[in-house]
Amino acid sequence: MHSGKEYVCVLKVHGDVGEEAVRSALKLFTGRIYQVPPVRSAVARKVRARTIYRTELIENSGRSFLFKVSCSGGTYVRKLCYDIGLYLGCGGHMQELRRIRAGPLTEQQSHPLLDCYETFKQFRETGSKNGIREIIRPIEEALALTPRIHVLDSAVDAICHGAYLAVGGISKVETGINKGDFVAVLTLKGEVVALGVAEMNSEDMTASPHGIAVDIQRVVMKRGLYPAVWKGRSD
Amino acid sequence: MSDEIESTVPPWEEKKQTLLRLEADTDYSYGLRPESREINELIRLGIINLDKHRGPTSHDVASTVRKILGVERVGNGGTLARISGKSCRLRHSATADRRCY
Repeated sequence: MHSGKEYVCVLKVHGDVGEEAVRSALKLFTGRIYQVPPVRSAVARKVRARTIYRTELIENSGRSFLFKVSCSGGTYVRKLCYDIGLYLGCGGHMQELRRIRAGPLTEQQSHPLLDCYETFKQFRETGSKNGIREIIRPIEEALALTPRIHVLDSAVDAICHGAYLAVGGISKVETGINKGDFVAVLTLKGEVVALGVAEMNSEDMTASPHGIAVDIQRVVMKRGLYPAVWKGRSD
Repeated sequence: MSDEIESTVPPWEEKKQTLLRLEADTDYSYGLRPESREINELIRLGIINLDKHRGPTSHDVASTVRKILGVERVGNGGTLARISGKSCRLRHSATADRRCY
């Protein structure tokens, strides 16, 4: 939802429009677009603004047009096809759809179910770890496009115990974070500690003398992995 | 999220920089870099980018993966905001990506 998506899609138009007409329609539906979610949809049917980053016509055969679309999360490609049909005057609908990207995850790096099955069967029966690391990737990879904040070792366990992240615990911050953005809190080793909502922007996180930087929503890391410096014990 | 600055650069192509607050080292006597995570821990804190073909639903596929892995907490992703605090696995497919908690 928050991440960008890419799809390949077959648009079927209901009249004999040329390739050029479709090409220019695709161009027109690039950038900021407005759409009402389809009748059968999971969300409220109110006009929503979405961004189409890019469209590319790949192939055309008769009234079928295969194209690639890069868009923001929550874009209904079915609706996009329908609306393009309206624009062309003849009507149209989406015939087929395949997602080829969700945020950082792409089709090229995906694995068929059967490969997963074989790999884990091998692992269970022989203990062979062959191929497992290719199939299961660290959870952090799903967060590759989520704005990141790296915290000091001394701040980690306090967050695991439910503390907010204060600016004093921060080591590094990605640029472009605004108050209210969904962010990932990571260790300096790159392990995810927690997810939360930014309480200030990137610049304030690095420059403010004090204050809460992140309101933690979900703690991912187990407690006790990092030392509990915050308890004030010196062992 | 709706009033982001207009941009035709998709999020995966945006260039990001890092601001430093405090240069610090991390102690390797605890914690582990994600890529060094051992298999059992990887299953707890991992994602599978799954190529789902037409036919079975996301739910069906999640249930199959649950059996294959012998892990109870296999779930369906979709939105990063719904990531859980426990084991998470996320996979991606033609119609849905999924994550397991």
